[in-house]
Amino acid sequence: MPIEVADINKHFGKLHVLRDCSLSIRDGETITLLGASGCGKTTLLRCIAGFETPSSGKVVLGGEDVTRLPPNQRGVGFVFQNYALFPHMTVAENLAYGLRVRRADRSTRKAKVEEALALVSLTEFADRYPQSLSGGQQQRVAIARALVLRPKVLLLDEAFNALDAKLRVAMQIELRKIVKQVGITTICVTHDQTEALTISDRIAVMSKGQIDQFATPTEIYDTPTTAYVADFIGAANVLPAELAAKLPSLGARGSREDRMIVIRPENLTVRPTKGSEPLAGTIAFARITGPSVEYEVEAAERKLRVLVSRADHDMLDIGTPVALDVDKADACVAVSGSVEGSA
Amino acid sequence: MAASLVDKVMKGGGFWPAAPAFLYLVVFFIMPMAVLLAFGFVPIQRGTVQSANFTLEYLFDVLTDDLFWRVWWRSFYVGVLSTFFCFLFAYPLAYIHTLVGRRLQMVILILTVAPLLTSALVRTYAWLVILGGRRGVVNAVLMDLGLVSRPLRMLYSDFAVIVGMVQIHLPFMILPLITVLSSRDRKLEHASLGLGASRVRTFFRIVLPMSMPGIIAGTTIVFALSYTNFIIPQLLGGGGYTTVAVQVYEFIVVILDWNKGAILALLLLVSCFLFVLMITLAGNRMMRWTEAKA
Ligand SMILES: Nc1ncnc2c1ncn2[C@@H]1O[C@H](COP(=O)(O)OP(=O)(O)OP(=O)(O)O)[C@@H](O)[C@H]1O
Ligand SMILES: [Mg+2]
Repeated sequence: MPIEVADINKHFGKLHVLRDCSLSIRDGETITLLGASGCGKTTLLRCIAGFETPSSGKVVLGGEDVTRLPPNQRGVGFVFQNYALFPHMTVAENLAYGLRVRRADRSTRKAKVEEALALVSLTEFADRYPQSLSGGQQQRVAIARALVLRPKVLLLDEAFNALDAKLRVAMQIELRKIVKQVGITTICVTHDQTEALTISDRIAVMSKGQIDQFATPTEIYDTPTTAYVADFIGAANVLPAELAAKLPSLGARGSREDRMIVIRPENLTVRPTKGSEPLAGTIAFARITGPSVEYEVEAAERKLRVLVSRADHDMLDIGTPVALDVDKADACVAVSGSVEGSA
Repeated sequence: MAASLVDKVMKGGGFWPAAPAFLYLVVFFIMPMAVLLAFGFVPIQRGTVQSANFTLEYLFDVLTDDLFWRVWWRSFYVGVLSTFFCFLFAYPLAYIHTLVGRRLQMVILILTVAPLLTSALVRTYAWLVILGGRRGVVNAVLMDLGLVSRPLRMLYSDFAVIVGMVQIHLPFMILPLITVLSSRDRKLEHASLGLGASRVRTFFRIVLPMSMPGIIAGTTIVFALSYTNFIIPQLLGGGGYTTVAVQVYEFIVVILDWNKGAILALLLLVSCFLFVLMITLAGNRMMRWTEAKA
């Protein structure tokens, strides 16, 4: 079911939490909301599910305007950030709850619950109460409780964050299979950029209640539109245009004053130097990451990250004076805004 | 020796910190109680024990007396009905308390607690004035409005007693319910709605069962208080209105038959304890999930 979010604003008292958020999500698509803590991801998700009413704007599910519809009439599956399992019901009863609401008969209920439990490998926990499960197990129950209803739209608020790395990947793959097979339109929320890059068709990067960019993972990585996006997805060196212009291969490209230039660490190069260079610095730190070396170079009063392959490069010692340049001028993009306040 | 005792008390651990309270309870509560109850099993006349011969005669007399069972039945249904109506009035109020803004919450809380600042006796007298005779508040209003031509007889009935009990014990039901309801996790209601359940279903399947600890606390307190109260039945029930508690008072203070009074007190105490136990056990069955804390 396609989801259309149009110009949503949300205020909590004086706090302006969502600013003109718009998303247009195709049927069966999986998208991820990515952004720093407190930027409004959960709030946006809650607006779509109906737990929160936007101050202005519209939510359209499958062509129907549901902005004023209560959550129990939207048919949206929701996995809460902190699970929200019913403590007075066993795991199986939790899963059966939504089926009971839909008046599924006993045998259907039993079959579906068992299937869902098997899916999240919790069959032997059917009769336990949620409090006696580990965080990761509770999270899987929460996912199963939403999936057992086969909703047309599934909203997952950091649904994998309590799982260990192995289980997380397994669950993501399983979820992706079901989502594709049933054709569920999915919105995930996460802090984890690798998770976002692996599971989503498109990513919406949010900052301070705004959607900065909504595009495919490669577009987000290769052509970020704001410094915030560049910095949030993958590592990035964000330099003022006039400073970037000092890089020999880059030259005057895009050196308009109000802009910033994003240079990925793998696109920067270093070579030892003795003379005076337009942009020189010293190696402050070096670290081997498998086939490449990562340097931290101090230049022009900032720290730049450089990633070079070890195959065609002798490792440089800390303190070595170096000259900086870029490999491919095309891969450097000009963006608006600054990175202050982001990690 | 003394120092080591102080040490033990201060360092906490086990029984010692409770020792002063325990001692106080033994001397001023358990011992007098035991003595009073023992009076039911030895012959007493004019306040002196006649002989130390243990006898079940008084207990037997009471239990085979039809009158006792009629009086007991009244104690019981007054207790049950008061508890029931307290719950009926308290639950919606406590629930509303959790929905409204801070200011209204304060108002509800103050209105709930305020009656506790006056003595229950005074409030019972107030009900006399409100419900009483032709010049009572209710009758005066009804007659002025022309709704009734003759004053209604409200005082000295089950109705008056239960009205009094409900009003006087209401705070003890409201407070535990407010506590448990306001600390509940609203996300669970959202989850229920998100799974397609209606608000009504969400209330009965999620909110109500989760508030069980408060319901049990409230009902046990209110039942125990109503079942054993003797002032309200005496004043609002009138002369001929007896409950077990009223009878205990009459036998011990008025008739000075301590044997029978002690037996009645014992029966009241033990049965009250049993009912409270039953409510708690039934409640615990419904709250097995609370034991599952990892
Ligand atoms: N019910 C509420 N009342 C007032 N402020 C709220 C409410 N819910 C959220 N906020 C505020 O809105 C902002 C966004 O919150 P939100 O929960 O959407 O963030 P988030 O992006 O999900 O963060 P996280 O990644 O930490 O979960 C925060 O500043 C938060 O304090
Ligand atoms: Mg959140």
